[in-house]
Amino acid sequence: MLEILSYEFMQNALLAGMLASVICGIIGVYVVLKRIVFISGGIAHFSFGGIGVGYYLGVNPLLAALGFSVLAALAIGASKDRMDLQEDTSIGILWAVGMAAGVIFVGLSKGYAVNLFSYLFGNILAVSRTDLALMAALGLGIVCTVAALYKEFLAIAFDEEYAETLGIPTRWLYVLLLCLIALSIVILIKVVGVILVIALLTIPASIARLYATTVRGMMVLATGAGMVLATTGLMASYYADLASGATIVIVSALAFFSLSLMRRHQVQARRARAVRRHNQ
Amino acid sequence: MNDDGGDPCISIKNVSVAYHTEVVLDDISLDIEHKDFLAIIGPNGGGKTTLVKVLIGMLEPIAGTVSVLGTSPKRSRTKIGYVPQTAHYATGFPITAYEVVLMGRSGRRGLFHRFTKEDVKAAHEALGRVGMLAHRDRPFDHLSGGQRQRVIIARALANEPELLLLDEPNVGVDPAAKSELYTLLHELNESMTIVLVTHDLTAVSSHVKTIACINKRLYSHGGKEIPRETIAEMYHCPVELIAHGVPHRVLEEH
Repeated sequence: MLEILSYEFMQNALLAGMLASVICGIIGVYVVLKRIVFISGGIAHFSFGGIGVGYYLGVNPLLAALGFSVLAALAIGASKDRMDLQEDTSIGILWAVGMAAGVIFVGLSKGYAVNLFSYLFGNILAVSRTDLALMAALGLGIVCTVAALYKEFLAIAFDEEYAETLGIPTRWLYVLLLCLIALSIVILIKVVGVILVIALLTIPASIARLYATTVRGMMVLATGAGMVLATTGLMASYYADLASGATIVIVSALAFFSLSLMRRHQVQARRARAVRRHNQ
Repeated sequence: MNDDGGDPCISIKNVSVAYHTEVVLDDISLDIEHKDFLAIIGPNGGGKTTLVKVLIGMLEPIAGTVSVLGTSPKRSRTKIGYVPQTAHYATGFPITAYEVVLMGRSGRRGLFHRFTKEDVKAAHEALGRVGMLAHRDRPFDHLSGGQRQRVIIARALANEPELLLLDEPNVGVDPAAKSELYTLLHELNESMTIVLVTHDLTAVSSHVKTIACINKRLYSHGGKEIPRETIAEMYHCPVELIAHGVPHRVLEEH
């Protein structure tokens, strides 16, 4: 069983899964609690346009994707409460335009054919040491930012309007949060792909929410859950010879589904006991 | 009545507010004295919440001037204890009662700064004042409507406000908790001005000192006896006032 750990690509893949779990465990908590899953999806898919443009112009696709995703984050943050168009409508448009631009520019690029599939699901088995270093640096940056602004992010996640009455610069913090999401997404796209990024941002945090009583606890639980799920999914994909990214998504979703059923059963049983005690 | 040289606590002069082209508040003038306990009543959609947003500086009027505690609403924000509707809190947010109350101190500490011992003390005192200290570590989510309401009030108190502004404090609160809430507000009124906004006329208690009726315009402002015609005119339907009771009741005719 352990012989697969001797392969360098497997060590890198596992390490990538751990680092992605830390990044997504922390940022995903805000994505889930602030209910900006769709916005995060919009940013991720819009950044795909950057990948296409990058290939076409011959610049580093990830750099171009970073430009696109931060642009999307700034645009969404700046237009909040100011647009006549509904926010979810405009994000839907952004989402589709990004994908379309990506496909067109990749098609226009001469030379080798880009594997679009790898940008959707990533290729965690092809992670390089450079990618890992980049992810570690980003992970550290996110931990530090969130630690420094924990009380402000908590205030805007719980009640943005009230936070504003306290004089907290809510708009800037919201834009900063979207930029952190954009940055996380771009760094993780090459490794885990657009679809797996969204899964890692939402599923571990949703599992953590079933048990956590504080936001800090939810981050720790989400990170742990992500690590377990990424490792399990990776192992399963290796032995069953399935696509790694897609397997991680399915394993995570199954875990969330069964855990939420179990949790609901537990809570109901506890409530029934309390009622019985009350009636005695 | 006045603490500082005759200026009222809140002074609203000829204020109008519009969303896009629709006028929501039309030429409202209202002075609220220090240590007043004012209930602003009116039907849903009558502009009560809009007025609250103007008072906390979240919304700029298109005409008129507002001064709160001697300055603009935005500047006096830190002295206002804003209590939003508890119903607007999403369930499933992992946070304890204590953390919610501590949040009230966030504006006092700048970005990147941690809470101090003073903040912790203020949060505990505020929890004690609303009788929720024993529930300090319980998840906010697990509390009853009335308990949540108290925690949200404690959050406002933690910031040591001079003015407490409550938006529909009766929504999602059972009758017993409602009457306890008024007892609490009555106690708090000894040290601060209280303004509360509600569409629920049965909730206007004997502790309230003055009442203002708002439905786009200000219909009346003064003592607790409102002429029946005013209520009928404002609500556009016949209502029956059972006055002098505790609490005052207004019942709709069907």
